[in-house]
Amino acid sequence: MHSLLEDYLAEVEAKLSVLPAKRREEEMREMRQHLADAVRVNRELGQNEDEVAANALTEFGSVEEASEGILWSWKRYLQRKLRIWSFWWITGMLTASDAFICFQFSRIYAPSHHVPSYQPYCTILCSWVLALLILSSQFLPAKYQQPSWMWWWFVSSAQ
Amino acid sequence: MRKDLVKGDLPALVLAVLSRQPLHGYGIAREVKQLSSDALTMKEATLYPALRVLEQDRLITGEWQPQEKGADRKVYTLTEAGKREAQKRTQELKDYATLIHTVLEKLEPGTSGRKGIGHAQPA
Repeated sequence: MHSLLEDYLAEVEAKLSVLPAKRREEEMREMRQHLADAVRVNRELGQNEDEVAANALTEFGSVEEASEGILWSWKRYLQRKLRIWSFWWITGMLTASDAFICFQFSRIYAPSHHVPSYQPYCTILCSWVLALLILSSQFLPAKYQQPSWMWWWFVSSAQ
Repeated sequence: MRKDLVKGDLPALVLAVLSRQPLHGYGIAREVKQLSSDALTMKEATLYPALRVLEQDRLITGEWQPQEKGADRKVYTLTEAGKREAQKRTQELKDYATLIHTVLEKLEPGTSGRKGIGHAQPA
């Protein structure tokens, strides 16, 4: 491959260093193949090697254009994974803590304080509602994810 | 007249191209250029973020396939959800273009030079 293309790919690979190795390798492999195709087509038009390499890079885009888009798509992938992970983590923690509250309440607290037996269930229900509200906010359109909007809604609904 | 492809339209165009046949990245870029007679321009590197997003949304799948000549290529194919989404987005783009044409016709009747979507421009 022409040295211009090799230098270009090396620069892009350096920019993609934050990606996991396997993902980065796959992206570079695909990019290399794309440029090889562009070189082949330009060569068929009768251009010399320098023109072929330069035109292939002009059509493909700058190092920044190549790397920023891939990094953005990776960030989007991570954000989605984080939402799913946080949903299951919160669900699991809430279930475990609610089971603990029920068990401890009936065993220790209720007999000595003469409180209604339904109290822990109200607490559990409120905690689930709050957790679902917080989780569902992760899936709202971007404009509704502003903290000030949520705070205003929370305060106005409490009143 | 050459026009830069609007970034937001790229995923819809990719889906429309893939609805005709599975293609690799360079093939998609070439198909878009050929279909627009080189009028629509885009940096080919912008294709790959769009492909990643479509893969994440499970509208397309990419698979490395051996070629008769040369190295393996990653070929993209529409999923069933992708086929439905391709039709939906194609229709949305057509409707949008029709709306713009309607507004322009009202602003400057007879100067837009087009009778409607799907009709060739007069020479």
